[in-house]
Amino acid sequence: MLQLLQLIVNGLVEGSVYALGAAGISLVFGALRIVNFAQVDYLTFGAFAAILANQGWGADMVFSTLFALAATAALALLIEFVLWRPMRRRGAKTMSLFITSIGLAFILRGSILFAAGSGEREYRVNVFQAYSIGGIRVSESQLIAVAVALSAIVATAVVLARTDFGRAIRGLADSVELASVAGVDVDRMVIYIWILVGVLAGLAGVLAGLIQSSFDANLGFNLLLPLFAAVIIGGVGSPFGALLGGLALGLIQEVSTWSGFFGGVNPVWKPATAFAVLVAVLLWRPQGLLGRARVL
Amino acid sequence: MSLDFWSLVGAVSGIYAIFALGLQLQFGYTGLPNFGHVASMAVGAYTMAILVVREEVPLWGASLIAIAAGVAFGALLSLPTLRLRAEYFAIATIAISEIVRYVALNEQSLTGGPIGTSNLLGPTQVAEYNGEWASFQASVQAWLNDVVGQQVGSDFTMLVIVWVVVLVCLLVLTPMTHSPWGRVLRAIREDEEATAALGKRVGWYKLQSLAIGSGFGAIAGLLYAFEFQFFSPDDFDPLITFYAWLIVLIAGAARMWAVPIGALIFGLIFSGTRFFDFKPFTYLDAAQLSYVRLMIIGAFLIALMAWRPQGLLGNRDAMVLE
Amino acid sequence: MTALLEVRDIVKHYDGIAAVSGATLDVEKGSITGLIGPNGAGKTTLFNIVSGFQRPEQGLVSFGGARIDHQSADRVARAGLVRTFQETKALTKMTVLDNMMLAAPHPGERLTSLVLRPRRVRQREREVEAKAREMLGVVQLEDHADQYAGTLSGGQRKLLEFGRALMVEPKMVLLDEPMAGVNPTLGLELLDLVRKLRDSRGTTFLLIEHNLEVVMGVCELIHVMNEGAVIASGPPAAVRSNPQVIDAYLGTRGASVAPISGEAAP
Repeated sequence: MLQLLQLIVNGLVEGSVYALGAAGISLVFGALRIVNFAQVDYLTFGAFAAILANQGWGADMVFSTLFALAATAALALLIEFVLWRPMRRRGAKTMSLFITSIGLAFILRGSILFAAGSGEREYRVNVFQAYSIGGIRVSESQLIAVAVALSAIVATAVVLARTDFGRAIRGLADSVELASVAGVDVDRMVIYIWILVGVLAGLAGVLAGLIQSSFDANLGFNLLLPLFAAVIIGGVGSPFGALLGGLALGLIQEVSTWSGFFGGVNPVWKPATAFAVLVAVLLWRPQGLLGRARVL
Repeated sequence: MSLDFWSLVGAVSGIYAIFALGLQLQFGYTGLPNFGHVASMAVGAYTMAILVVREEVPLWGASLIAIAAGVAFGALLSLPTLRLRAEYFAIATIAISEIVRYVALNEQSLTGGPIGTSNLLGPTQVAEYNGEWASFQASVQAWLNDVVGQQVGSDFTMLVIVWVVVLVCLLVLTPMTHSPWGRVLRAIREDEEATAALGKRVGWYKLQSLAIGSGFGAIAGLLYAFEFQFFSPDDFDPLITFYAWLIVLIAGAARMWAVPIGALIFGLIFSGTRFFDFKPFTYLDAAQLSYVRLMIIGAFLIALMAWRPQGLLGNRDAMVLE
Repeated sequence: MTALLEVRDIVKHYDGIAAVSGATLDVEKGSITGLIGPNGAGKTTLFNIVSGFQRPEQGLVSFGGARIDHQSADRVARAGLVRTFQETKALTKMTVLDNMMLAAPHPGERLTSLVLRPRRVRQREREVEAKAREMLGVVQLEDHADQYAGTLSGGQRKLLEFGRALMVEPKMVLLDEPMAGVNPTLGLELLDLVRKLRDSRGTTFLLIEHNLEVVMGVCELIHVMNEGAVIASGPPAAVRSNPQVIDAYLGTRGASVAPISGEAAP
């Protein structure tokens, strides 16, 4: 039983990072109709920006994280102006944009590797500091990560659901044409969306780095499958769905290793679990938990 | 540089050409953006190696079975992914190829694990699968020596063998794609609904395309295995699929003959970065050079999408991407 | 005697709104039947359901005595029921001739035949090409045979799609707004063609059309849909003077309607 609770806690920790990353992907797809393959590298960028502040400048984690959020948001905006906007003006559509995002991923990853090298990095945190809550072991990093992530998730959900801004984003996700007819300044909304996405991605990246204790430039790419699986499981086009999907996926991945579950899946196979869940969703409920947009 | 070096570049380009031909069938002709194509290479190479080393199956038999395994893999790949929209199909295929690589990495008893094929019989014995191939290659080399009139190297021999296979692949694929069967594929690429409305079994054709394309991937995997005599899961990195994509994008949609040309262009550019021994490249070490290469490939992909989405060699009217 | 196409009580919702709610109609073999109604009446949705592109939630469709309501689009087409689309689906990256040849049943589309019976495949290819050119002549596109379909005008693409559907040698054709975007002279020729095909081959036609003059002129029987249901069926004269039909179009009963504008119905 204790093992199960521990796994649930681990799953929540992982899942909350998935949720943040997936929400960004979902927002980008909803508003801009881009499946941004490079999105996961925005996460890597955020993680490394925090390393720069934390290890390079000696700043504490709070400042480093805030710096990472700002840096990733700036990166997202830069890429919007330099790449996405011109490509849209040229009339590029789905496949071209997707392949463009792959090219972007290479450039981002190559740049990060070039600047930071291929070695493993870690934040200056005490990885041995752990707490035991009712017999469940949680490291300080995990605790902070899940607390921050869950707060961010709640905040994002509230913004999307309750504010005018959130409603405008969701309106944009439903139909760009309708939104512009309704007087929404689409270009400006797009900027706000990229800022939000940049912040979410940066945060997800920092937290992913935090809970992994050490990471390299493949941080984002290793999250590619779980993040996109979370988006699809939650339902394409629904940021709420992506949040839920991320949490669900984290939980399923961890709990599936529980020994009470047919002896437990070997933890080595966790990526395959994510894929199996994805396939199951596609076969039985292709629109995902909350989705309306078409994946098929 | 020496003939041996350029022979190697040429041979590897040829292997990539065969690999890309499979992808061209899947994407250029049928519109299926398979970003996990490298998995079929891995399936082909590993099936052959395991059969030769563990089950002592003769090389040629093992190779045929390996190609069949590639075809079967492609068919299996289609089952969960067929109904997915383009980008999600792409990501699902990446996921599958990563899982294949993951299996190769972790199932040490099956594949030798991260150490690679030399570990196929366990740590106490160095396993080799290349024996029969080496003798075949030697006899081809002897024949070439007679034909050419002087001693050719093994690299050159391999080059010849690979490009003969490329030619055979083209001779098989070209009539296939120019046939009524190929016509249905091209129709599916452009508009599945319209094609279904004419009574064609769209799902079945997609499966065939994925399966046959993966068969060619397996052939590329075999030749790769023979060329390098040893391989490990790291050889089947997702990046390899992206190289094939570059080649297909250079060649343009639905053009089989352009693929080998694209592969040669790619091979030249790729190995050409070796010769960047002028500033500022001299300041970079090998690892940094590979990162720069990554960025250049990325920039090249974007440039292609921005300015020549029909491919370097392609025809605008027959453009496939949008 | 049962009709060739029988549609019974079809129901289909989108996002909670009933697009089709209890539609019932018959199409007799060898007839030219019309389906009209204001925008949003559910005509194209019904077409999609009948042709297998969408599944109904309730109700059934039978074609030639056999049920087809949950069959896939390609299966329905193979059974002999083909359709055209409101937004033409000409395959623009292929030549006009290829578009036509694609449609004809052909053993060369199976790999086994390609490998084992190449001569038969080549022979059939020649036959199909001849037939395709002949049909192109009928729809007056023979000069464009080797052009990419993307270079054709909207009206020409409609003709291409029509000709292509006929290459399948169907028992019945669903035409979704065949006149839209086509110039009147060409349109009249198309209608002439419909009549000729019905007379010579016995092909049945069901057309959605907003141009009421056209419909009244060429159809023997007309079904009228409004708000997801078939509200009237009968010969043109009867339908024209039916008060419910007039209401539906003029909106005195509050139906969401625009006058016949050629706007797409969902």
